[in-house]
Amino acid sequence: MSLLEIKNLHACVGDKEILKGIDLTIKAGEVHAIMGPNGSGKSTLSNVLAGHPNYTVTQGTILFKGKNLLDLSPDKRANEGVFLAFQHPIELTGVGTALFLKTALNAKRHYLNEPPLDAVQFMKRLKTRAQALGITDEMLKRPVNVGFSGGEKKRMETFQMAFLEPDFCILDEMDSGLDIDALRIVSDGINVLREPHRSFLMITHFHRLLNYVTPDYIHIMVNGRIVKSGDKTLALHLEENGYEEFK
Amino acid sequence: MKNLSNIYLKKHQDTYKSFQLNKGESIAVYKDEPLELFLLVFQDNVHVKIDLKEPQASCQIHCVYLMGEQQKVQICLDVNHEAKQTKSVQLIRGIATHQSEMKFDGIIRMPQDSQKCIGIQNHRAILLSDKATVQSTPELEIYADDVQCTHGSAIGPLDKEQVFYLTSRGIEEKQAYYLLLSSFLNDLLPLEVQSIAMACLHDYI
Repeated sequence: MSLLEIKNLHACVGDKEILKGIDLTIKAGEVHAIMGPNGSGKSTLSNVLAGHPNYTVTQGTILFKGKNLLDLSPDKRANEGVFLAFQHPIELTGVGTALFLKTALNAKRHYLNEPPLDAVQFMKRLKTRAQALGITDEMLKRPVNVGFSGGEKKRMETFQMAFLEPDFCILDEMDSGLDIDALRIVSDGINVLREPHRSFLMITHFHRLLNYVTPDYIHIMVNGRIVKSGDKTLALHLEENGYEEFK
Repeated sequence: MKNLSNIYLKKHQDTYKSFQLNKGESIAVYKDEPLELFLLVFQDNVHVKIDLKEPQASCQIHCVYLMGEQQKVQICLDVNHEAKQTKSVQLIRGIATHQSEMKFDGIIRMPQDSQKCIGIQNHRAILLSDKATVQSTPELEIYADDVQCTHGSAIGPLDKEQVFYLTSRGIEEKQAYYLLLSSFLNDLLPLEVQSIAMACLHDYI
């Protein structure tokens, strides 16, 4: 069964239509990449999937695990297993990272009718996952993303993903603003999470992320539509020829 | 939350004790006894007048207000640097919702002889409704020419992107508001009043 099924999705910001009929099906375990020029609607698609209130869906459907995603608030979507790794992670002044993660994790457990983790279980889980991504104790003590470098913010997004164990991860330009070392750490973090039940949608401008995380499918998005889909070789073709032929 | 009375606290060594604030009365501060006041304002008007009487005297006023319904409240903090080399800090954080109206006047007076004084005032407020208003008026009366004085005011709604970030991690919107607002107030709130302030906040979200 498909994990995600998008049919004829149209979405607007204000009066402006950005998505003009997206069809996309993602099965469990698959990694899809969406590439496209600036302003083609890639980030809009990721925000619409996560339920950002600035975007209005005017037509079409999104089914996630057979449920109508558009009926669900952003928190319910997250607890159903959707995770958006932000292109620009938000700074939460005053909100401690550990408290934030505990609240998020226990919200999900509550949603799934599981008992909350106590302090000891929580800390154990936190430390194990943090270590793998080079998240230091000092970072966990700071308010969420406050004072983090670009690379640290992306590492923190990857860490949150590992910590919350979603089934569907949307990575919105995870590679932007990363140096080679940070890109490798983040990519390793993503690759470790690849499992038969978990799918990824990676949004990127560049081929370089795809060198580290190999996608099963690549889609080219131009002007609010997917104009071509193919396997990973499509990215190489794009690297050489640009988007001009698809416009 | 209706009918909560204001709470005034004064710090003695490491603990806060209840403090009687009399209308129209000035509090005189001397160098051996720095004044640390905390004001939790729900509904009554507040007028605090402080005179820094001798060099090295200092005062720190932390004020938190939580307003809702049709409440109209005025807070006036008036610090007079009577002597040179005195220091005052006013930190104010507030949350206003429904149709409430807050008027804040923060006065710092530095007469001609009060050289080398430091005066700091910072007021930040979050509006939870389009109909709530907060009006902030810093009044700096400075006649001395060798002083440091800063003031800042920032009033606005809660950042919707922060709320979305939290909800995108599975946290309900209401709880997201609570997390953001309690963090906004927490660094000013003494432990003694945290539970009462948080209960009021819960009520307003």
